[in-house]
Amino acid sequence: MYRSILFILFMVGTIVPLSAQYFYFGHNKVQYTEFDWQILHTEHLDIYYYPEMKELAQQGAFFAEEAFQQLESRFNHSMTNRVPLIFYSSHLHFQQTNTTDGFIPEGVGGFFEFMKGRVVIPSDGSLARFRHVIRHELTHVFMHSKISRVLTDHRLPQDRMPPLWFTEGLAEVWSTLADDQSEMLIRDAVLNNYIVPLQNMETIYGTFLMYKQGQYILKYLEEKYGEEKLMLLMENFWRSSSFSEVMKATIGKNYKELDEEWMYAFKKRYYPVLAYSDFTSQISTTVVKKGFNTKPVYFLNDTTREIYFIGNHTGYTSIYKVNLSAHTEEEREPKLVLQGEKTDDFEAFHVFQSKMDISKNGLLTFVTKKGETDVLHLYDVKEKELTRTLHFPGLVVYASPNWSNDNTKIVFAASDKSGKMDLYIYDLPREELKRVTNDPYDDRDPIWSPDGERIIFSSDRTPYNRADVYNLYQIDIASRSVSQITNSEHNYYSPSFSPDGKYLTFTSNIDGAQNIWSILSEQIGRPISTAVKVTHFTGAAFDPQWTDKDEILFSGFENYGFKVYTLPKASVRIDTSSVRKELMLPASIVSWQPKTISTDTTVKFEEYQGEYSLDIAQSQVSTDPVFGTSGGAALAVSDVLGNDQYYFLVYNNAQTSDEFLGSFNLAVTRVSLGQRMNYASGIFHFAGRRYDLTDPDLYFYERNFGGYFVLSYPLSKFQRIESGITFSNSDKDNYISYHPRKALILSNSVTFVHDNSLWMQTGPIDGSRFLTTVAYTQDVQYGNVGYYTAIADYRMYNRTGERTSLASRFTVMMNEGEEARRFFMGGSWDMRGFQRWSIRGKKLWFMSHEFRFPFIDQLAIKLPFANFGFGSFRAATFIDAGAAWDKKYRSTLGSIGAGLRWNIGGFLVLRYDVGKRIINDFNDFQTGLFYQFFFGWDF
Amino acid sequence: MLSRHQTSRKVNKLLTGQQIISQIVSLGILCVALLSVFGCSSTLRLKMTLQATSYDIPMFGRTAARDFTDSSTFTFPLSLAWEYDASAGFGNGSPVIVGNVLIIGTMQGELHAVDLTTGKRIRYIKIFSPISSSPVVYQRYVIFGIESTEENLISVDTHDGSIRWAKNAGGVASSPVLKENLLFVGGLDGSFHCFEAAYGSTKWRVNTGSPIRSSPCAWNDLVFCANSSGEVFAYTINHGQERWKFSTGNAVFAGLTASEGKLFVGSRDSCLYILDAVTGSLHQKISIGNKIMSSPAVGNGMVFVPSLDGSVTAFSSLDGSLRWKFQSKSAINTTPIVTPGAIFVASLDQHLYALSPEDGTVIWRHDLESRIKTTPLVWKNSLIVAAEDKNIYCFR
Repeated sequence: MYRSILFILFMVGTIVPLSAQYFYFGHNKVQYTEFDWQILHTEHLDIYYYPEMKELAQQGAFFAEEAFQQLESRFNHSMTNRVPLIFYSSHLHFQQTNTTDGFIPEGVGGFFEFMKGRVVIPSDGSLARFRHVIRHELTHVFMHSKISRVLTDHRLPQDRMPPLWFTEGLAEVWSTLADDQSEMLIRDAVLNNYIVPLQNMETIYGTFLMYKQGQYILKYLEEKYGEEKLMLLMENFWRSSSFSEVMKATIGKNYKELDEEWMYAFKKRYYPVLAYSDFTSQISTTVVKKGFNTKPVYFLNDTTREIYFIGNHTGYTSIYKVNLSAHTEEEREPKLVLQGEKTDDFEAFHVFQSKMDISKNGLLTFVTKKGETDVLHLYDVKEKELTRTLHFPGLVVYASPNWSNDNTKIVFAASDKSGKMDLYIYDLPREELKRVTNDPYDDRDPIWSPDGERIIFSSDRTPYNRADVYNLYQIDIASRSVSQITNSEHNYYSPSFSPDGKYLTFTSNIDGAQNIWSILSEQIGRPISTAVKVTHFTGAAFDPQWTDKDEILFSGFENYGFKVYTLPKASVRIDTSSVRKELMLPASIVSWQPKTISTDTTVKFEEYQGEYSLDIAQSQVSTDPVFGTSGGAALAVSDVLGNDQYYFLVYNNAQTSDEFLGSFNLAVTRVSLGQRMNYASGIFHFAGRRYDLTDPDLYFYERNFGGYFVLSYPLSKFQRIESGITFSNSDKDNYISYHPRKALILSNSVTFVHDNSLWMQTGPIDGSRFLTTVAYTQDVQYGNVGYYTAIADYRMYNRTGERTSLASRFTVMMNEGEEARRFFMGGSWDMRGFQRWSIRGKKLWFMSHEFRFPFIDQLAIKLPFANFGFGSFRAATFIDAGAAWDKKYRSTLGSIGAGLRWNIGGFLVLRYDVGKRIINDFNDFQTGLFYQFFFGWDF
Repeated sequence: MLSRHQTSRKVNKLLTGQQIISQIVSLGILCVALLSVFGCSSTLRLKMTLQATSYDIPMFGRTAARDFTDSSTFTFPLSLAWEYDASAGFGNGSPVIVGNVLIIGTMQGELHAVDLTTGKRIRYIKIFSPISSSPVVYQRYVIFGIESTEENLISVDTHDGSIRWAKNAGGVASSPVLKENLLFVGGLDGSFHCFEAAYGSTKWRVNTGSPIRSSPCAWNDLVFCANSSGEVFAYTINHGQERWKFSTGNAVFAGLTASEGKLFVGSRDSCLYILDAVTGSLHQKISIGNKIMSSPAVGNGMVFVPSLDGSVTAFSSLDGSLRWKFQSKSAINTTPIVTPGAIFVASLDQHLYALSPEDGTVIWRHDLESRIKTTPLVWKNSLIVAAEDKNIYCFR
């Protein structure tokens, strides 16, 4: 559907050259990297990759074929078509993909796009997670195929799929063993009473909680009723459009009955945890409650105790600071240090992946995305200024920088285009970068030893025949020899030394939940050491850091949120803890070796030349009492990578047979997205009766044919420049003059767009948007047309609260010259209270102020036969003002009122406004009220 | 546009009352004729009486013990004799053959009768629920199961197309077995029934406690069934007394096969169990390596076990020693058919295979371009298979 709209916009753009740009903002998906695509053909799959990551692609191919065979058995089903998999070696590359039109958030690990059946997967440096995501997405592929088959066999329309909780739950259950993250969330949900029954799953639709609940519920069904039941649920899918009934037919219980059972079972499983564990908030001091907060670091700023952390309190992830020395609540409130996600410098924080660190002299170092790759920033917290931004050619993703004790070096983890996550040391005075590790293992969370001679880090190089177990290691910087610190089938992350160097603390899931543990530094590397449990949380603890007051600073997950906490008397807790575990080290490290696809006769490599397939084919015949009958078809074709797109439109709107040839409309467009500069070109022929929207009395016949070329160059995610040229022959007959108007029109335009807005359910709530266009349109042959165009549209959104905003808009449009077209406004999208498009003129100005606020967050209606869930309703109060004129300025018009907006399904917003028009040059109000209902996003 | 002259002629041509009545009668006769032609086609009313012969396959696996062998011989390559478009998907239940007529149920809830010589449809009837298992032919009656919760075991008289009887057997997803005049069928509610085949009267009924998806078999005076909890039961045919019970490690979906005093059970725990049919004691438990979803075939002194990893493993039926293993490219959930010169295997990899009985090598392979999840049939030197593309193919 998006492509159809895009296509139509392009077509409209060729008729009225600037129309497509008038109200078009949006962020930019910047194709920074030039990928030299290759294809690896295996027995069942076609894998697209680029040469730098060939080794990773072969490893991924092995995982994919292995998963394929296992899924055939689990689903009792096979695929009849080859499955295209598109690999990226990092999430930053993945975000550039054109296989989907939308932007890919940080938390998305891969997706299956069912129109072309493509699976698109990035690596994040961990082969275990890569394998997991491959299996997860292939499970979607199989499920989609199986369900289609079941419906086809029963000759039912393929108009439905199982609910999302089942789809995602199945993909997780059949792709991974239980993991810390899932366990953390479900345990927290049960203990904090926000677990959601199946009957109400729509209330958490699409959330991470829904994914994990789906996984755990299906795991429960597997264990209780047998693994075959999951397969049978799909084979019985044809029985009913209600999945609750399908469950009843398969396992004998519907949603309601099953909810009673599994929720009770989960309570029995997790409630006993409270006998030996506590809520984090009950034991620790909460430093930051509001919003979403991670990766805290501590700094003693002269005598002021400060904590810096990454948080999201407004919708933008940013760096905040808390003054621990403050005496009042207000002074202790988090203060914004660096605004993220609004400017190019701090385009995105990798909020779960990368820690921060702060040197003894107050240089905060952290990672953000900037342009094509990540960069390392140094921010002086005392001077409150950014001092340096470090970029290392060849490296793509950076993570978790850590200062040496002498403040001259930074160790961090990074991956290059091959996708391997290794350790690097940057020497600031010498400006030298050295690679410390170079292997297929995922090395992370590096820190300096107190003596500065070793790096302690977490890595998955453990020999447990699995690549998803992380232990702690140390590497001697001089000799580069690696030795183990921990050795077990549990995970160990985020090492941190106490200020006196006595303790090494870290997080581990040794006993099920991720808590803080510690060992004595003097035991590091010994054949036997003792890990002592420091915390006993029901939730999870992350990234422990010591302060100067014998307390541990960390972020903790509890009640579906991440907060920052401090734990006092840390050393006492360590010394007196009764929970200990002996860690025994092997004589030497034996690491697992990555498996790769064997290059037998079924495996082939070749260069990608472009493979095209149909995206959309639509045809329609319609009849209108005024405009008669028209019929036509639209086709969209693109290549498997989405870089090259072709659109074809043909339709005819003849009203009599002799008009047939003269009413043929045809357009062909090519859109190229595979490089940074996007461009589109096309040819068209349009002919038929037109009704000029800008002049209601003007009804004419026009034949218009020609070509166009449009460029779009993104300067960054937030800004771009566009330029277009259209050359067309226009023959117009307006029925009232004897001679038709002929013109050979050349139209040139340049546009600058800026957009860093943040959206809520019905429109922008923060940031700003700006568009300016200048254009010139002229008849190069007959001189019948010649006019300039200038447009400026500025919109800003002043955040007044977490969910409230004062939005303002200022728009000026001008066409001047021969046959200059009119602009128009009126209606729910601009001048409210007036008839849609009723205000017209070659010059136009418009201003609007609107206060936006929440109204109803969730509305659910339960009937005996069905439940209905309604998305959130938001409200607004507004005042509009503007005017439009040709030569002589007419009256200033306006409106004032209030309205409701309702988002349906995330793609359609219904609007209802009530108010009064302001007329007579802003002197009078209309009598009575206007009521206006329409659709559309807030401006 | 008509000219004025033409218009007048049209206007003046009014129908008389007699002519109107005549037209109505003609229309009525046409409707009756149409109904009689197309209406008849929707009932299983055959013009011949079904007469079983020794070549026939009146139930899944031909006999009550589930015999997947045939004495037909083939010369390869085989060529396609005919194909029949049923326009509906097939379940795992293979067709049955009586006389020269092939009868198969579809997931659309239809029962098709096809002439085996020509591949043309004779008749079909429409039921209100999908038929996923094999029917059984008893005298002139076709008895089949459906998965609905009421009246899910139906007997149709092929002489007049009427329903002879309809019973509730708990929802039927497995293929019933006929021994003499007794019909045995397992239900999705865990019940196992014995009916008199002629009238549908219940002789006895037991509850196994878990849904039955595995096709039962009968040998001597015992009938065997297995359920989704992995339990295998032996009951006396006439009285339904439990003789023994055995537990495998996981659900049993594959049909049971009996031969020479042994019962062969394939389980989703990836093991083949060879039990003593009389006592239920375990002779042998063989790990296959992946789930077994379809009946093992016994013949030529060997047991052939299909598996979801796409393999067919051949063991000696005497001592269980491994003879050979064949690997296709996708899951196999059909039963191999054993003939003197070839073992026929159908796979989800869209291929039909003929394997050498000695070493499992591929003698012949045919790409149907459609997944196959219905066990093929061998009948009078013809190989018949129903594929996912809704066609039935006959090779000779």
